[in-house]
Amino acid sequence: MIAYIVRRILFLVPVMIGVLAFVFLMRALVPGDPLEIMFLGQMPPDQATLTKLRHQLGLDEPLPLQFVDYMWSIAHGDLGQSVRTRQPVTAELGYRYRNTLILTFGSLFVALAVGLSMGILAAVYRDTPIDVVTMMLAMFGLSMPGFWFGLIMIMVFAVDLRWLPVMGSGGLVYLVLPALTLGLIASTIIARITRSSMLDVLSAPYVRTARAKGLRERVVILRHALRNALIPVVTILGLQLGGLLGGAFIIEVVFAWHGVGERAIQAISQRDFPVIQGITLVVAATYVLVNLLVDVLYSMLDPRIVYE
Amino acid sequence: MTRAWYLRILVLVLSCLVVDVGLVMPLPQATPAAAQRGGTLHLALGEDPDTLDPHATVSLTSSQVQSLLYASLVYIQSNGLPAPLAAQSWTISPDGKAVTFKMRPGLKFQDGTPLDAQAVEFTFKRHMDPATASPSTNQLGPLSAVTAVDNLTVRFTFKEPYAPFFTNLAGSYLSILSPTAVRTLGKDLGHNPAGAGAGPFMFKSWTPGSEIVLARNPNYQLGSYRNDTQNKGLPYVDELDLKVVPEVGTRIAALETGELDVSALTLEAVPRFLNNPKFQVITKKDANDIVFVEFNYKRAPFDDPKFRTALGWAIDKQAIVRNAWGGYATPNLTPMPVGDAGYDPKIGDQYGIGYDPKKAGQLFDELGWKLNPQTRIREKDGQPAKFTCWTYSGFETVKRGCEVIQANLKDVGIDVAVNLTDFGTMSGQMPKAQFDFDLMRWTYADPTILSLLFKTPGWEKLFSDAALDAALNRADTTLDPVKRVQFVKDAQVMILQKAVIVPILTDWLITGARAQVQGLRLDHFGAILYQDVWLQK
Repeated sequence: MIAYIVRRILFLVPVMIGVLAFVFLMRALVPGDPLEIMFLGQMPPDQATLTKLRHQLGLDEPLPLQFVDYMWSIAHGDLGQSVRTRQPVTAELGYRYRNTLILTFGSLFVALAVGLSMGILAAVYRDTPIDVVTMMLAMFGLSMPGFWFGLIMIMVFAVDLRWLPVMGSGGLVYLVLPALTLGLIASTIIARITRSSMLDVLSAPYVRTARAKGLRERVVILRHALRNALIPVVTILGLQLGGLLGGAFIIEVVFAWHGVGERAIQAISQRDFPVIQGITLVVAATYVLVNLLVDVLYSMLDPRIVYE
Repeated sequence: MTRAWYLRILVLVLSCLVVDVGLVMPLPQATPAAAQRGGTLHLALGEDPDTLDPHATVSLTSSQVQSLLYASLVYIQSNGLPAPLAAQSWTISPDGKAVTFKMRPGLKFQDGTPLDAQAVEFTFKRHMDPATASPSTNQLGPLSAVTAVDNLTVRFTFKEPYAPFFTNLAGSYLSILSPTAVRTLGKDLGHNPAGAGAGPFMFKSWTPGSEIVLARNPNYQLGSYRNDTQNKGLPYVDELDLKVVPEVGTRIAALETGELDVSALTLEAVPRFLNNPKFQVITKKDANDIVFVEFNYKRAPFDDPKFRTALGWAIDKQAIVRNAWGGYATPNLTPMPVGDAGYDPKIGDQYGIGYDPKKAGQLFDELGWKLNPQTRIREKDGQPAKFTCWTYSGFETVKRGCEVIQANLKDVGIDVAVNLTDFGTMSGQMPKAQFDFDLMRWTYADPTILSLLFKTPGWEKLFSDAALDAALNRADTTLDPVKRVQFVKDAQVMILQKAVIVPILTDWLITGARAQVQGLRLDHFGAILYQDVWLQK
């Protein structure tokens, strides 16, 4: 098991190199130059200033060479500096990554709590109005654009009801709306998967056996059925976590939640490549690690799964 | 009259103003209530500023904060012309190559050190120093030297006369820094510029990515020297709390809940605030922006001024004002923003390209673009008139404007597809001449905007016209304001005659605020004069 985990972590290195090579390739393909965008609508700088700035920022080297340089810096724990703020990317991303993680786990909590209960309810009360209504809600949530849903949440809970603040980060009270928005959207898939997985399990012989033993229905559902129904849910959860980190980009902007995503959107529009690369690296690494965590969770849920 | 009643009437008057676009009505004077001191004003920034070192940035957001911290030699009055601020007066040498400023005696930076001629010299030397590698050195123009003649006299010497210098001087990039603070702070100047300026507010704190807090400068000395403010003393509010809120819809919702006190409004949001006594809406109609159609001058048929003119006559400017900007814009047939010195609607009336689809059709016919009765699309040499109008995402107004143009051109037999893309992509494609024409919006508070847009090779890097270059150079090297404005007008006429662009409108700056916020006024650049703002308790 340990060897397996170590191997998976080592696997991160080629993945990261691949992802970064892809980002560099995008740089060659996507139009727009960071310095030109910086000076849009302003007095254009003279060529000498432009050349000097380009040199200072290392933008005058051929792209493959920049890639090699970048790899070398990463190996030394340096992600370069932002084209705009001239601050080290590591310093900028540190506190933002923490904020993003807080939001991600907050929404994961909402997604699990809502998604699991909806899924279980729908499965247990199959083909009743409860089932129909929950699954309709799930369908609705699945098809809603996050950006729009976020603004609706703001209109209802912040502007009309005045229960919660519109924006900001810091206290728990600021976390509620963005976490609800992201979590409710993510909960819909979890609800659907839980339902279908529970339905499979509920018709399995061991559940009938458990009932025949005279166990209470609650114990049958929660201890015997749910645990076995959870494996596909955990798979989806791993993907969802990645999705949450990605979906959080837009939601962070809507709620002025100062995480990695908010910075990413700014950096992309400014073509601030060092920041984009840094964020890509961090998000990709998180994604890989989360999937590793999911694989480990499998074997905890189902002792029959063994990694070598 | 009670305050509530007064507000109701204010709202009424404002809504009349908005409904009847053509009506010029002076804004009602505020009730002469005594201004109250104290409180914190909650404001929003569109992004986290990159740095507060004026020499290390060209970001408009950073400039917004810097202009509160640092003082400038001059400011721009509402008529677009400069007036002295930290300077007391200036003289211009007969050849226009030297400008000598006399400083006001006894001025001090927030760190207590003197703001004198030496400080000015230090600041500009730092700006010009190659080691500083400032991205904004072009704001200095052909400046060659800055010399402190004595404690209160400082001389700027130029290689050639440079008229836009005064507007640049009023902006934050050319504001004055305390030499002592710059030396002690070193690299920290960018993120903790305590004491470095002489502006109305002092730096208090910056939580990266989140908020910046400024406090009143208790020793502010320049309040009485501006004629666009009413408060001649210290700022009324204790603190300005500037929160980073990137999404405009969120800023507006936060204004509604009172988390923000003031925010720029989108057109869609205006009605919610206009008919609500808890809020006020102020509009600045003499704004510094211009919306226009520009072309790919390297691609036929847009390389032909006559074709561009024909296209221009087919565009209904009033309809764009009405349908794309909801009436919150002034039709503008001149290439100059309504708020900039040198704007003259008569130039538009006389030389502008108005709306006349018949005339457009006639011009197209003369050029050989004949209507194919089957397709209802014009053709020339078997080529159908199918073009693409580019525009950039993030601005509903500009996108809707493109759609109106699409409909207008369809009426005269030109088939237009709208291509919506992000600004970076669009501006990256432009120099490669991979487009037909686009709808563009520029903001600049000095008549040199014409040079920025059209002087060879133009901002698109596709345009060149020697006669226009000469006309723009004349305007940019004439320091006498009256003569400069005349040259600026000549250049405008030339631009219209060559149909370089098809000017459409200048849109208004719309600001919403809670009713408690008093004394809201905007300066020439459209920035709020926080000097005057106070909070009613």
